[in-house]
Amino acid sequence: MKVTAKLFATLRDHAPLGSSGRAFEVEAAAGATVQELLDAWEIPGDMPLLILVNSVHATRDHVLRDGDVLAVFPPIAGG
Amino acid sequence: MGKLLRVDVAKQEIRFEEMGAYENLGGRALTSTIVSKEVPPTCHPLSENNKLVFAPGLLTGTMAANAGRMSVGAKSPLTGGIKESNVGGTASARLAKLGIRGIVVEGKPEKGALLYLVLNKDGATLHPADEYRGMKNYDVVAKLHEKHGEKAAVISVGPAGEMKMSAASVAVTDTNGRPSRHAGRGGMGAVMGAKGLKAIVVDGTGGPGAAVQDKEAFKEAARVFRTALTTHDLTKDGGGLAVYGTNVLANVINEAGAYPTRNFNEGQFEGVEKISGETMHDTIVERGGETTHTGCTGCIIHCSNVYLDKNKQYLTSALEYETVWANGANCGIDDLDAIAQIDRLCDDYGLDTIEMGCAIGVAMAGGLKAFGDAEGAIELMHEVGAGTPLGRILGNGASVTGQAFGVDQVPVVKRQSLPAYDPRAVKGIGVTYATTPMGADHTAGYSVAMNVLNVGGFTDPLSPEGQAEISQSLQVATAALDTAGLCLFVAFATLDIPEGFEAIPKMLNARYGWDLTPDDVLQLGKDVLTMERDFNLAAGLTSQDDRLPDFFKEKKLAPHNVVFDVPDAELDKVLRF
Repeated sequence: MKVTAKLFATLRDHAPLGSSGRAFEVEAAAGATVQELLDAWEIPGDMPLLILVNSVHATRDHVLRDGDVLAVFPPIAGG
Repeated sequence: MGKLLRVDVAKQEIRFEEMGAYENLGGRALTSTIVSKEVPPTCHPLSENNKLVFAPGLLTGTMAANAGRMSVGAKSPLTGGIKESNVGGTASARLAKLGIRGIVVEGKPEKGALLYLVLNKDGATLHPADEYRGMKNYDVVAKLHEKHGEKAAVISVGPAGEMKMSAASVAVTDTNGRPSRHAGRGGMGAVMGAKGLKAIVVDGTGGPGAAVQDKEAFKEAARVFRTALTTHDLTKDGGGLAVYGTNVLANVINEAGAYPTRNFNEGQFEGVEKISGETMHDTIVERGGETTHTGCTGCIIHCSNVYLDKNKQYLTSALEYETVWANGANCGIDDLDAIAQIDRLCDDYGLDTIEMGCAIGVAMAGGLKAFGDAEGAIELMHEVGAGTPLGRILGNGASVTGQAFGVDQVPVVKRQSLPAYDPRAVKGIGVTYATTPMGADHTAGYSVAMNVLNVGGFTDPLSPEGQAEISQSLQVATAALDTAGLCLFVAFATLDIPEGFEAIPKMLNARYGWDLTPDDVLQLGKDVLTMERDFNLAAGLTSQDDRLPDFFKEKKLAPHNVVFDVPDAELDKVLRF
């Protein structure tokens, strides 16, 4: 299945070469979780993350579906 | 300990007083108490009966980290209610160093009189400011620095404040001596202009310093507090705020579908990549600016920045998320350099960037310019600075602009513009916008923390449930932080690290010899809010003013197709303790 992924802020370095700052397509097995993609990108397991799937809050164990848009942020805040 | 300075601009007289009944107050508690007790709630905010109060916080001037904030209070010409506008920079710590707990500016000058105030270890003096009349903030700061020394902090108004525009800000110099920090919301610059006060120069050199009763206990509590800030992911060295500044939020809020676009018409902006925190960071690095910068005395978070233009010349500092959104996505503008230029113009003319971005957005909705017309937006800013009839409409905010251009979708509460989060998709902030005595204000109770950022827990932003509770508890905590003179960003750390929050009453107790518990600190916040709400009621505001405009309840916001649906009955309970 295809998932569109976006990695932001300090996570940009974990995106595949050439796609920094842009959305990129990922091929994943059916039933893949967010955590499996995070592992593939070598994002540390203990880092608190802000995860949005199709603009809605999700957790690391969220099961992805074909066509989902996954956005991942490190701990950030502002005002 | 410490003194209250009264400045009568009609008689051109100054006197220092004992704090008296105001002894245990600082920051927002002091400004709101003085306004509540001394300003007739029905007065005209530009008249002699309004008072403009400046107050460092209860911890300002000590070694406590991030305690350099200042409260600026009065009756607001924008909202018609009480206002506490909060600002960082360098003035507050210097006032505290001089032993000045508050400045109360009273009266109305004889026609045309313009003055400035100088504060130093020798006392306070008033001086004619005619040669600075009409000057932009950067120029007047440069001139005052020439005369009174580079190290002096300067509080000033630009032409917008002199013209008494309701979107006028009060500027404060940052650690580089630039007027980049602003008490922006609610027209405090107009009140300062109405009082004929162009500037306040604060030179703390040789001042007695902020007294601390129990130095050892203070040092220990301050250490625990500081550790909370340096360990929390959001506020630590190399954390998101230090590296990307507040505009790091652009992509989060856009992804969450809550980034108000083209006058709150949509929740995502197709141009966000061009104005995001990441792009701003990369642009700054490429041009040799500063991505990590300290705006305010005593700060260890360093969220500010220094932005250079494409010729690598200094353009502006402290380019914030709210500013980039208001003059960017809200106007359909995706040109970061144009937005930085607008930030510079707002800092120079002395204007609230949020109010201006919303006014321009409303003007675009009314057909004055097209959405996305960056050059057009800059032209409008110059109209405001020049005080043309069109400029006077825009410079008085989104509500006046909406009326002038016959626009029926005006994003304001109590006539103050909404900030950078659509309340339909972040319902917790919608509750704050509606219920805070300040008018639509995001800092008053920053529910975005729990709704979007996973700080202090998670409350689903798309559900009406639980929003009133989080808004209430945040409004209370914020009123307390504003009273202490602490930067609101310490809340990110203290919401997650209990010892960090507990260190705040410990520092207060060590400084003043008090016996406060964390609950006492929260009670202080409740007392401030109750007092502010009572002032508003007496000023003629009612619970009907604690509502979002109807279009937020009726027009669905894409991509979530949601409306704001927290019931009115819940809104009415938020400030009932």
